[in-house]
Formats: sequence, C-alpha cells, structure tokens
Amino acid sequence: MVRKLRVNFFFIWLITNLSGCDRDVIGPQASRPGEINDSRRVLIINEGNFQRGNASIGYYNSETNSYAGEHFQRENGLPLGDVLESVYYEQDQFYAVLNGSNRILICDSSWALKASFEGLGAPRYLALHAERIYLSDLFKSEIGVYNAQTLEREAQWSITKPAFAVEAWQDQIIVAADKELRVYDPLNGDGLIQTITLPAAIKAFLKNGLSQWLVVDNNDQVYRWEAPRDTLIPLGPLNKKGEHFCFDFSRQEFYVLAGAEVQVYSFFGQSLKAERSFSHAAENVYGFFCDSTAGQVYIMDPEAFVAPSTIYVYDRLGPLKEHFSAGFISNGALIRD
Amino acid sequence: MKKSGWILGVLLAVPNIIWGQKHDSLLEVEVLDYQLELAPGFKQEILKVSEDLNSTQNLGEALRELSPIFVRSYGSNGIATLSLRGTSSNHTRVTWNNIDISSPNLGLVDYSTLALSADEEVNLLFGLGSMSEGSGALGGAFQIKSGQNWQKGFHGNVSQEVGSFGRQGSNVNLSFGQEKFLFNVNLYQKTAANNFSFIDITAQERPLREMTHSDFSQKGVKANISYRPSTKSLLRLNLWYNEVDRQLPPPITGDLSTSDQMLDRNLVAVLEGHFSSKLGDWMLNWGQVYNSNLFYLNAADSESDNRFMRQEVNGRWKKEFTRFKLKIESGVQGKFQEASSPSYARPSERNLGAVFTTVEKSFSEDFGSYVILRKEFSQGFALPLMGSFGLFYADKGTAKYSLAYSSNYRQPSLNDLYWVPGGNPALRVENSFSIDLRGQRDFKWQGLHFKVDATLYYSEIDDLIQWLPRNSLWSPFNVKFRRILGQELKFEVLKKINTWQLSSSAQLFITQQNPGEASTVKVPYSPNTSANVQVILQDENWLFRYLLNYSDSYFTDEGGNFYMPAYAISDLQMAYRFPYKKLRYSLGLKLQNIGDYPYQILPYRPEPGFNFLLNFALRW
Repeated sequence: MVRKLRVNFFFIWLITNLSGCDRDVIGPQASRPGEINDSRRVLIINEGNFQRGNASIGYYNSETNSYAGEHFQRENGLPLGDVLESVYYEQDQFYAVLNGSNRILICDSSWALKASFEGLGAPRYLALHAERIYLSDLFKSEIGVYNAQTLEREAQWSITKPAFAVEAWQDQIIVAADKELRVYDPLNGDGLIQTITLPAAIKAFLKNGLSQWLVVDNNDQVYRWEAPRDTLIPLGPLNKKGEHFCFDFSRQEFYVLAGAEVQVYSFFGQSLKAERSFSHAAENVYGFFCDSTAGQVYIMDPEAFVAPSTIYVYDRLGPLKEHFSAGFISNGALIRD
Repeated sequence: MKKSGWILGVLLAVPNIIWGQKHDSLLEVEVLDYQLELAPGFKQEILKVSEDLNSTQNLGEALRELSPIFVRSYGSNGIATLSLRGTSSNHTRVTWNNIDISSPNLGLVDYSTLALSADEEVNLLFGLGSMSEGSGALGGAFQIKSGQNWQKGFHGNVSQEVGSFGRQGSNVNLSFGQEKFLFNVNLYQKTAANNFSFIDITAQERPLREMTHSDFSQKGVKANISYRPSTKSLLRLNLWYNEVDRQLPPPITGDLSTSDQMLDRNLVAVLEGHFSSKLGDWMLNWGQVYNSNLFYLNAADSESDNRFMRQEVNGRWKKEFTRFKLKIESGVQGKFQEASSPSYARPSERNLGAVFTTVEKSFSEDFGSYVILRKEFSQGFALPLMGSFGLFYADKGTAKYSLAYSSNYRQPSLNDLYWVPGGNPALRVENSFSIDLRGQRDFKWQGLHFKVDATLYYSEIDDLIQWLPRNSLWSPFNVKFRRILGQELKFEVLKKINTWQLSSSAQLFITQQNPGEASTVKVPYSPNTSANVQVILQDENWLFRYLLNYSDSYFTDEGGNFYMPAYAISDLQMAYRFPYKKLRYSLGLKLQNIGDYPYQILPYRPEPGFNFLLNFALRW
C-alpha cells in the first residue's frame, strides 16, 4: 500500500515538475544583458521588428566604445514596445513614439516611465509646442493634437497624405507630407497659414544649424527654407541620388549617403558645393546620424533585420573610428550635450 | 440540469430512431487504393486525430499535441507555421489526396487552417522523402489522405465539443455505401473567443489580463464519391471547401484594443482513378486548388486580397517484378499555377512538368537498394536533376537499417520573384542534399514489447533566399548557406495487462545548426531539442492519455542576443466509449496545460493556461 502511494506521489510529482520549468520567466529574455555604462550622451534608438516587441534604447560610450542596451527595460522592468519610430527630449522629458504599439511613452531624464498615451493608430513623429503635442501617423492623413498635461486628444487636422515629418518652428507647426509643406499657426486656432508644393514628393526635411530647414525632394533637388512664411530657395541638385541625410550644425556641412558612399556638401551662397566623399562599410543602411559636437557620423546597418544592428562611427573626414553592436534595427540617435 | 438532461435524451434517442434500423457490417472486399511508393531510407510517421477526444482539430494543433515538431504559433488562434529538421517554414509541403495544396505565393502553409477529419490519415515524411511528388520539401512533407470506409448502408457520426474560452465545435460525418458506390460527406464548424487570461509582462505589476479581439471561426465541408466499376478499378471525386475567419490581435506590446482580420477560403477538387492489371497498378489524378487570403490591416485601414489557383495532373505506374526482385514506380506530373495579389504588377504564372522513376532492387531476403530520379522542367529556371540513392537491410523483421543520400532544391516563391516593389526575378533555386542513416528494432523483454527507431541525418542547404533591404528597397537574394546535423529518436514500450493495453512512447528531436563552426550566427526559432512523451492506457471502453510536449529554449535573432525560455506542457486526456443498442457513444475530456504554465512561443504572444475540452460523439 505504501509502495503504491509512493508510486502515485512520484507520478504526480513528475507531472507537475515536467509542466513546470521556471514559471516566472515568461517571454523573450536577453542572453547577454551587457554592462551599464556611465555615459548618457549618445542615445541609440532601436526600432525593433514589427510585431516582435523588441524595440529598445541604449547608450553608447564613445570613450570606451561600449554599448549598453535595453536601458528602458532595466529602468522599468518592462519591454519598451513595438517599433520605436522616434525619440525626443523636450523639457527634461523623453518622448518615445511606438508605432506598432500605438503608444507614446513619457519618461523622465533617466527613462523612468511617467505616463503614456495612445496615438491615432500607428504614430510616427512628434512635435511639442506650447503645452500641446502634435503627432503624425504612418497610415492616416491626419495630425493628432494633444494636451501635453492631460494627454487628451483635443483636435485632429486633416492633411492630404500621411505626414512623414511634423516640427515646431518659430511658433508654427510644420507638416511635411508627399509634395506639400504645410504651415499651421497654433496660436491662431491652429489655422493653416500657407502650403508650399514641391515638384516631387519630399524625401528629407532636416534642420540646419542656423534654424533654417533643408528640404530634399525625390528629384534630388535641395532647397533651403529660412522662415515659415517664406518660400523655398533652390540650392541645386545632388551629385548622386541620396538615400539618407544628416546635418553637421557646427560645421554647416550637409551629409548625403548615396549607395556605398557618403558625400559631404557645404553651402556657397545659394548653391551646394561638394566638399568630399568617403566610402562606408555598411551593407544595408537604415539610420544615418551626425554628431556635430564630436565631428562624427553614425551609420546604422540592421544586419538583415534578424540580428542586432551594427553601427559604424566615422570621423567627419572619412576614416572609420569604431563600430559596435546595438539593438534591433537601429534607426537613429539622440545626442544630449 | 433539466434542460441538459432533455438534450442528452434527444441525442440518445433520435439517431436510434432514424438510423438505428439499418446497420451492416464492413464489406469483405479488398479496396483498391494506389499507395505512393516511398523509398525505404526515409522516416515516416502516421498521425491520426481521435474522434473520441475532438470534434475539430487542425493539423497545427495535432502536431503540437502528438509530435515533437516545433510549431510556431502566433498565439492561440494565429497563423501556425513550422520548421522541420532545422529548415525554414517554406521548406515543407502539404498534399491532400496527392494534390499539392501549399501556397505558391508565399511558398509555405498555414497549418492552423487545415482541418483534419477523423477518417483522414496524415503521413509525416521527414527529410527529402517526398521527392517523387515534387521538389521543394527540404524539411519534409505532410500527405493528408481521406479514408475509404466501404461499409454498406447509411452510417456516420456526429460530435459536439465545448471548451474553455468560448470554444465549441461540431462535426457531422455521413456515409452511404453500396457494393460499387460510396458517398461520404463531412461537415464541420468551430468557433472560439480565445478570451483566456495571461500574465501581462508589459505592465509593472504583471497583472492578469484577458485576451480580446481574438475570435476564431472555421467551417467547411469535405465530400467524396467513390465508384468501383470492378474489383480492379476505382474512380473517386474528393471535394473540400474550407473557410477560416479570424481576428489577429497584435503582440501584447501592441494596442490590444484593435486587431487585424484574416479570411482564408480554399476549395480543392480531386478526381482520381486507380486501376490494377497484369501490367501493373496505375493512378491518374487531376486536381484543382483555389485559395483566397483576404487580409485587413487595421492600422492602415486597408485590405489585401491574395489568391492562387493550381491545376495539377499526375500519372503514376508501378509494378513488382518478383522474378527479378524488382519494384519500379514511374510517373509524370504537370502543374499550372496562377497567383494574384495587389502587390503583383500582373497575375503571375508558373507552369511545371516533371518525370520521375523509382527502382527498388532486393539482392537477398534481407538486403536491397533503391534509386529515385526526378527531373522537372519550368519556364525560366534551369532545374537540376534530383534524386536519391539508398541501401536497406532488414534482419528477419525485427531490425531494419537504411542509408540514403538525396538531393533536392526549392524554387523561389512567386512573392520572391514578382512582389512589387522588390521582387527579384534573377533568383536561383535553393539547393540541398542530405544523408539519412536510420535504424529500427523491435524486441520483447519480460513481457514488454519495445520498439526503437533512431535516425541520424546531415544536410546542407545552399543559396538560401532571404529578403534584405538594399538601396532602400527590400528584395530577396540567394545569400545563405546552412548545415544541419540532427538526431531523431523514438522509443516505444507496449504491454498488455488483462484487457488493458498500456503503451508509452518518447520522441526526441535534436538539431544542431552549422555544427563544428565557430560562427556565432544562430538560426532563430529553431530549438536544439524538442520532445514528446505519451502514455496511453486503454481498453474497449476507456482511454487515458498523458501527453508532454517539451521545447528547449531557442534564439529569436541570428545574433543570439535574445531567447525564448524552454517550456514543457502537459495534457491529460480521457475518453469513455459505450455502446447503446446499435449505436456507439463516447465522451471525451481533454485537460490541457494542466500545470497552468504561462508561456509564449513567439515573443509577447501568450498561449492559454489550463483549459479543457469536452467532446461528445455518437457513431452508428
């Protein structure tokens, strides 16, 4: 009888144990969590794969050439979410826009989660101005306008195509979508002030160091925009078809990634001047970023999208300085000097 | 209680009144059915769903339950793909009554849509063993074959299942048979809300949340009409319409208040003729497959309708030349495929012709060898000759050993070639070869019957296709090379105790990618080890089954930076079968994930905890 009982208990023990493993360990785990580094200067934005929930942020320390990933997860004990499209640092707070999660996370300067709110479906870019948040969407031809305190949506602006850029500039809100640059005045009932239409769809819209903006269209024509109510000043075409663009504020240099080459332009009056070019080692480029203070260019290679990205750091004059491995699908960086 | 008693009474009484009066035994005739000859060097397993335990079960569910094959499921009602022997999800093929039903668009199969009937058998062919049917199945193939129950008169079964998370399903199978004629129709439907609770690891306090927007609905009909003009010939028409409509919620890192939607509809018709004469056995078939996949992407508020149509004809002949101890099977095949998608510039076509031959020669009672050669012709592709050569040895029926060398390839899918933007018409085929060494042994010891089956294989796949972003555009390229070393072990013990039969089996799959290499590149979603254990105790009336499914941890990226933890899920199943007059009833109960173990197969897609399924079936 005792033997039978033992057999029964053994059987129950076997079943419950085999069904066990470690029930507290659920979901994806980091194999090599890595070290925490002290530098908080260069924030790497890792978009992550769509519907995998593996978006992340990490800090790169250029002095030790070390990368410490999964910073949000370490700080909050939570995954960041799905497809981190963009990150902003405004008024001592980080704003992380998660496209796949349809969420915007608001964190303090050390990335402790403070609040979050929902986007319009697939949020993409964000601008903060006068206690309001302006949010674009990947699929919807609308801009969501939110109260920055209550995080309630107050309005929705209709535009012609989904916007790929929304910026606050000289107390105006600029929306770039397809061939149009739209200028809104948020202080005047969010009225549309002017619409500038380009000959081809806009490919890049980036700020230069003089509080001016550079616009590149699909014909690879470059324009300068000096004030929201002004028209665009054509600066001429690029030498090669550009795919990614960034700007060195300190040196007023315009970097264009074209295939296996990086071309560097300066401005000479109302025209572009090709200064130099250098080749890069990345096979697929997903992110391209200028560190104006350090005089470096970051080129992000997502490594076929199934492995952590490799980020190449080039000196502004061309030599490769370092390369390091970051998170999945790195798409940009944010520098806090 | 009163109401359920009344329902039970009706269920017991009505069939008895309607069908109970006529019930004939099985016809004592030999039913002609052309069986495809399989090279003895390849491993195969038969899988069959239990009508006592389920009214509805799809192939993905059955494989997860009854085999160690790693099924990648996108949550409880999501798409299910799998990888066999360390290959990719587009390296397996599924046939239904010898007609290929895999999608040429994607080149893969969603196993969650393939409803199985209790009278169907699934032949799991591991490795390159299905090459006489076609190229491309580098990991293996699943052959679903409808049964032929030549029983006189009107007979059938009805069953109904109910379970956790709003699951219910029903199945009606009706047959009418005469000496020369058999008609069978099988209707099924299933719905599930999938509103199970899960631990939300995306929130600080890890609260228990309920899954929403995860509805699943499936319905379909399978029918076959068979006619035997003589004992040496059979004509048969098989039809299958299947529809799956489901919500696809995002991972739990996403917005769970929304979901995408997918509607899959398939229609398959197969007309086949089997003939036997002095010149050998013949099989001719013609099949037509229509498939529509309508996907609604919620975030973009857009729909995408992807379709394909396939016509396939096969002619096969086989004969055994006993004087020369020789078996030969040869055949021809034609496939005409057309696919359309909003992402194609125009409907895309792929036509294929093929010839093959298999020769098996026995040199003695114990020892023999075989050769398979297959040549395919397809417009725009230089397709190599594929084949297999093997040796086999059988020791008085108690032990079998075989060795096989095989080569195969996979053509790029139509999406790979024609997707706009990015499709790459310059793609080459993926080439593969494998070596399989297999040993099987049966022996008895102290009243126990043991069966051991062990396979060791090594394979290489070259020119693997992968989509990569180049010049801001995603395109597929032939970029990769993979080496796979694996072992498959199966150990069975059988014992008869009075009227009870006790059987136990343990299966273990071990896969090593790129063995012996210093490379740090990992193959995502490919566990090194997976196992399935079954203990079954049954007699004429009772069935008890314990199942354990184990998967080792596996990486989710090629860099090996993230992994999914190992899991082991246990199920308990029991059924009671009882006759009442001329009817047979059964009541089945499945207790699944009895440890209530919280786990995910794909990141942030929780699987259900403890759940049950109660099934009632009636046969006459």
